[in-house]
Parts: sequence; C-alpha cells; structure tokens
Amino acid sequence: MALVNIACLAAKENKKILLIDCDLEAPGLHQFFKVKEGSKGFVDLISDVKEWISIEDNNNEEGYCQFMGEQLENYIEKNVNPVASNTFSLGMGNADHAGDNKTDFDKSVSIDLIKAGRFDNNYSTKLNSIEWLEIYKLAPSFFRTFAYCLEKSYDYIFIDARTGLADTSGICTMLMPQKLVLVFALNNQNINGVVDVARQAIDYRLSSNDYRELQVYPLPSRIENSANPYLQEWIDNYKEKFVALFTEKYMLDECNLSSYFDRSFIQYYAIHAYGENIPALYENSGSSNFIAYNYNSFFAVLKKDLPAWDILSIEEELGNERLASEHLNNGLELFYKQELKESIEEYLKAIELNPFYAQAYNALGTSYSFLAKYTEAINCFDKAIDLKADYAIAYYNRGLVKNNLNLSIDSLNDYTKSIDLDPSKAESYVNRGIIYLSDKLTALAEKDFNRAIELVPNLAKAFYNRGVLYESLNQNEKALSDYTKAIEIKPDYAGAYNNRGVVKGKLKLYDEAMKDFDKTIEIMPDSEIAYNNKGNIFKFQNLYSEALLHFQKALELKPDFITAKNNIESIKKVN
Amino acid sequence: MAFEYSNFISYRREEQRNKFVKDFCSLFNTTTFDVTNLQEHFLDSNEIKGSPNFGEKIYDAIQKSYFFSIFHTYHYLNEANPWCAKELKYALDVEECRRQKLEEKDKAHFFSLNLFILSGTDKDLPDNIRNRNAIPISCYQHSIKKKTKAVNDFFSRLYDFMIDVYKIYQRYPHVDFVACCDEIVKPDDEVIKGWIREQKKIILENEAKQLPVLKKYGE
Repeated sequence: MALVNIACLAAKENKKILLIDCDLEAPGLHQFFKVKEGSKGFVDLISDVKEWISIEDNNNEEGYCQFMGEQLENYIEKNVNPVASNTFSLGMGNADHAGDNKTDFDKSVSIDLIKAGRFDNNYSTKLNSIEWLEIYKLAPSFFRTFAYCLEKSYDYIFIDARTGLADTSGICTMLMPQKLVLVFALNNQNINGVVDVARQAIDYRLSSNDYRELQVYPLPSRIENSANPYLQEWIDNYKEKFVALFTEKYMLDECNLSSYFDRSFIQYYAIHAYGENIPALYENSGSSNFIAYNYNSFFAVLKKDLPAWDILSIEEELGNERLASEHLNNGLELFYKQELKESIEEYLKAIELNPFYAQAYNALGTSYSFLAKYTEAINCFDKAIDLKADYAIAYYNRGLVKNNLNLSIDSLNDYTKSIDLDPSKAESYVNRGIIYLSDKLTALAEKDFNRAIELVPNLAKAFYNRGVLYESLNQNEKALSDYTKAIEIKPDYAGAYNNRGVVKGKLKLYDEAMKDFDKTIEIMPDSEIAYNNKGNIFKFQNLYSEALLHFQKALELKPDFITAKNNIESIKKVN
Repeated sequence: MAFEYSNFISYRREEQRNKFVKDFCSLFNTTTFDVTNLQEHFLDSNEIKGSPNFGEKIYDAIQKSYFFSIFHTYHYLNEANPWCAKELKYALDVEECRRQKLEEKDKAHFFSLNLFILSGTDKDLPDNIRNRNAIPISCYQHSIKKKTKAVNDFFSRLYDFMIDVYKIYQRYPHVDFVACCDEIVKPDDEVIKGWIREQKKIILENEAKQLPVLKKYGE
C-alpha cells in the first residue's frame, strides 16, 4: 500500500511512473488500478526472456536492450488509472459503490504497470517453472541492463517485492533498485529481517558490477497513533540497528537517523485496514492526522536523493532554504555589478544549502554563460530544468547558450519550449525568429518578430531584427521604417544606425546614409563595419581617395577584415 | 626529460559515480601532490578525446606521470571505445620499462600503478593486474565528502605506499624515467579489442557466480 500511495504522489507531480509487481506469490498491485483482463505481466516477461537469451546471439547486453526496445511494451499496461474500494469510508464518491465495487478514482493520475502476470489457470505453473538462478547464471547482467533500460524511460520505477527468502527477493533487493525501501512493523522478526536484507543488499551492491549506488531507506509502518509505553523502546531498537549497520558498511564516523525517522514512518489508521484505498490521492496531506501526511513526508525524503543519515529535520531544512535564498540574492546583486566570479561563489553556497534550488542553478548558469563557460552553464540549466520542469526562463537561457555554441536546432527547441511554457516572453520570440531567419524561414521569423512587437511594442531588438528580415527580402522601405523605430526606442542603437545607413545607401540616399554611419561611429568608435560602409558610400560616389581612407581605417581596426582588404584592392585597381 | 604530472587518472565516466570519483580525486590529488611535489595531474577529460592528437597526448602524459591510477568499473574495458584498455596496457609497459632501470632490491617494491575498484571485485580486473592488491573504494562513497576517520586513514596509507615508490624514483637521479620509455610500442587496436573480449567473458563468468540470494538471518 505504501508503494502505491507514493507512486501516486509522484504521478501527481507529472512524473512518468512504472510500477512492477514482483510479489509473485501474492500479487496485488493490479487491485489498485483499472487493468485489462488477460494481459501479460512480469512472469510472462521472464519466461519470454529465458527463451530469448537461450539463443546465444541474444545473450549479451545489446541483445537485452534489443529485447526491451522491441518487446517490453507487450508487458506494460500503459496509463492505468487508480481505482479505490471503500470510498464511503471518507465520504468520497457515491455511497452506492460502497464496499462492493471499484470506483474510478482519479483520471488525472496515470501510471504504467507491469502486473505480476496474466492470472489465468497457468499462472502458478508458469511461476513455479521459472528457474531464477539459472536465468541469472546464464545472463548475469540481464537484470542490471533491464533496470538501466527502464530508467531511461521513467522518472520513477517502483518495484513491489517481498523480502522473504524467495529468489525474486534477492533480485528485487540486490540487483534492481537504486533506492531500497524496507517496510517493516515493530517486531523482532520484521526488524531483524529487514536489517539483514539491507546488510546483504549493501554488501552485494558494493562488490557488484552495478555502477549505481544503493540507498537504503527503512520505513517503519503500522505505528500506533495513541500513546503507547512500548513505542519509544521499539523506535530506539530499530534506530540503533540501522545506525550500526550504516556506520559499519559506509565507514561513517557518525550516523544520526533521528531526523530521517522523524519524517519517515507510516502510522496505523484502522480506517485503512480494509480494501485497496489510496489515501494519498484524497486525504489532506498537510495534516498529520492523516496517513497521507506520512506518505507525503516520506516521498519528500525519497526525492532528496540523499542517504538517510543526511536527511535534515524540517526546521533545519527551512533554515537552510532561507539562508540559500539570501545567498542567491547576494549573488544576483553581485551579478548586476558584473562581479561574476563572486556571484558564482554565492550561488554555489545557495546550492550547497539547498541542492534543489532551481533558481540558484539558473542564476549560476547565467553567470557561467557570461564568463563564456558554456559547458558549465548548460549543465546548470539542465539541472534547473530537471528540478523545475516548467522553468521557462531556464529553457530560454539554455537556448541562448546553445545558440552561442552554434547548436541552432537545440537552441530553437529550447526557445520553443520556453514559449510554450511562458508565451508572454517577447525575447523568446525574437531569439527564435533570429534562428528562423538564419535558416531562411522568413515567414516563421516574421511571425515571431510580429508577436514579440505585439507583446512589447517598444522592444527595439524586435524592430531591428524584423528590419534585417525585410532587408533580406529587399523590402527596403519596411526595413527602413523598422530600423528607424528601433532607433526611436533606443537612440544609442549603433547596429540599427549602421543597418539603416546600408538601406539608405541602397536607396541612393547617400548623405543620409553617411549621417547614419557617422552616428554609428560616434556610438561605437571602433566599428570597422561602419568605416567600411562609409567607404562604400564614397566609392559609389566615385570619391576613391576618401573611400580608400575609410577602408584602410576599417582594416586598421580589424586587420583580418577581408571585405575591407578586397575593397582596398578594388580601389587600387580603379586608380 | 622531466616528469610533468604527479599522476595520470584513468577511468570511464559513468554518470552516477562521477561525483564520487570527483570527490575522491580531489583528496587523491592532494596526496599525489604531497608525495611528488608536482601540482599537475592528468585526467583524460572528454574534451581532449575530440582533439586530433588525442592518442599522442595520452601516451605522452602517461610517460610524463610518476603514477598511473585506474578507477576500475565493469565498463572500464569497452570494445567500442578501447581507450582505457590502451592506457592501461601502455602504463603497464611504462612501469615495466622503468622497473628494468632499477636495482634488484628495488624492483620488487616499485609499483607506479594504483588500482581502485569502483564496482565489481578484484576478480573482475583484467588478468594482467588481477593480483596487484587492488583497493575497493565504493565503501567510501558516502564518507568521502565528510572526510571521516576511515577516509583519512585510507589516504594516509595511500600516502605511505606512494611515498615509498617515489623514494625509489629519487634514488636514481641519473636515470631519465621519462625518456627511457620513448621506445615503447603503442598498443594495437585489434589486439586490444580481442583482449577486451576475453576479459569481458571472465567478468561475466565471475558475475554469474555471485548469486543474488538472500540468506536466512544469522547464516
């Protein structure tokens, strides 16, 4: 039940979820969902895998991946919705369904499921005929590869398994997981059992060929809500055992699990003793009077991707978040003062305190990109997006960096994503338009520039770039108008003066063109392009010596300026 | 010719362990600096792999390093990208070449190769380095950043081991340990790939013996 509830919480966050029912002797996950009758499941998958790998050419990692790529879909029930029984218990749904039926529960939550099997007459025969260890000996890296392949398609994969002494228990606890959640009740059999499973799983993974770290999360369950004189004694009991285990296995100086266990336990509520309910979907997870609170709290712990002993108390976490926010603000202040390296130090401190701080990663990426450290910048934006999937500005920023790296398709995709998430950001349209323009997709470019101008009527950059577009289409009057508008908005827009000068030159308005180039030079005294353009205007008017002087000045400003060199040559030939 | 690097670090990047390797290397580089007094170490980064002289740069760096350190994982040897295997083969030849310059009493103590096992066991190591006291380090994955006592002890032992090797280098001021390796033949791609195939078979055979079976409590 804990597994289904936590999976549903993850699904509610729009994560892609797969559930696998490996509790093969007592399968039950399918009871929580609306599933098709007779579809294949895990037992069928393993039987078919056995056949597949018995062919020698298939028995290698490429072969396993091929199997997954081609056939895995046949065992997965896609997008199943949770259903619930006993909806009457909390006044949910229609009382007519009470107790005797499954009720559609929440269609907004959908999950992929690999059931235990078909549950037909052959189920137990098929299950008993599987020789798990033989399969393992034949293809030792199969289960590892299986896990890697699934990881590529899902954000979270939850595997339900028993930790008894069945072969599948070893596979599920040692081979498959990255995070091993061991649910136990407060009795010696359970506690000693899970501590031992944890010990064996850790030992196995430390010496296995699996590169993934294994995180173990013990989860005490059925904790009675009422005051009970034995409770603390039992809490101390399991805490002590796990502290000893982790300290020994991971060579820690100290291991404090108090904060972890304060946040990770499932209380006993009689109301949930019957049926297959998913209270995480309907209970108030903000109130500690509900079991959903426990699931939510544990899911928050799981998401941190930290070992249990590094989990902080909520109070400590809030304190860190506040401090992180201060560091972010300090960093932003430094960034605006152009103190980029110092800003990076502040952002790193923010991330150290709050590793899930998407805004800090985004700010860090921005500082890196200003320092032309593009790989680092992209990593930061990736992380920001990973933490906050709808983070439009991070997509936009990553688009900018990728554009700087000439990765125009990637950049285009990022701008598009940014626009999808935040259609009101004019700059995204302008930048996407520039890429369309460079790809000669002029209609799309014009649409984007128009949209940007609609959104922000005084966005000089949009007018400027639309001017470039019109110029490329020989629509010189329109180009002239856009450049003029850009200059009106931004009177020191050197590029717009220069480009307007070029258009005026084309229209043989030489005096006006000359004024625009002079203005460009006034704003940007080192503009070799403006000098070269000025030279061209002189040349058009057959004023060769003046032209030569300006081409020479352009070359002086940029000694590898080929166009200026060619212009000088052509003047010399004329003379 | 002089040494340029304290240490050449050879490993195949695998996303999930990179952070651990990075943390480990930051302490390891301090150790190698303390031992050799050379600040620079060589990490065959992905960037350099794209460059046209990649191979030469790698061999040159191995030759100019006091030590060569491997972080071994299942994917260290990879037929599709045999660079790690080539580095290893070349480093072994460099070590042997240097050893030949030593007196008999030093030969037995001269090990310029450090072997760290990130995943798997020493049985999974390539046959030519299987019996060289490789050190499993994945047990430090959660303690490396905290610099626990166990971690400090580990690096202290590593320092002791490496300083002994360094002292051997220092005992032969007249030997050019870099130039003496000039004539070593660079590994042949096809031979290396064949060797990788053999080693991979051994690794899988070992893995098949390590059954994922939960045993009864107390056994």
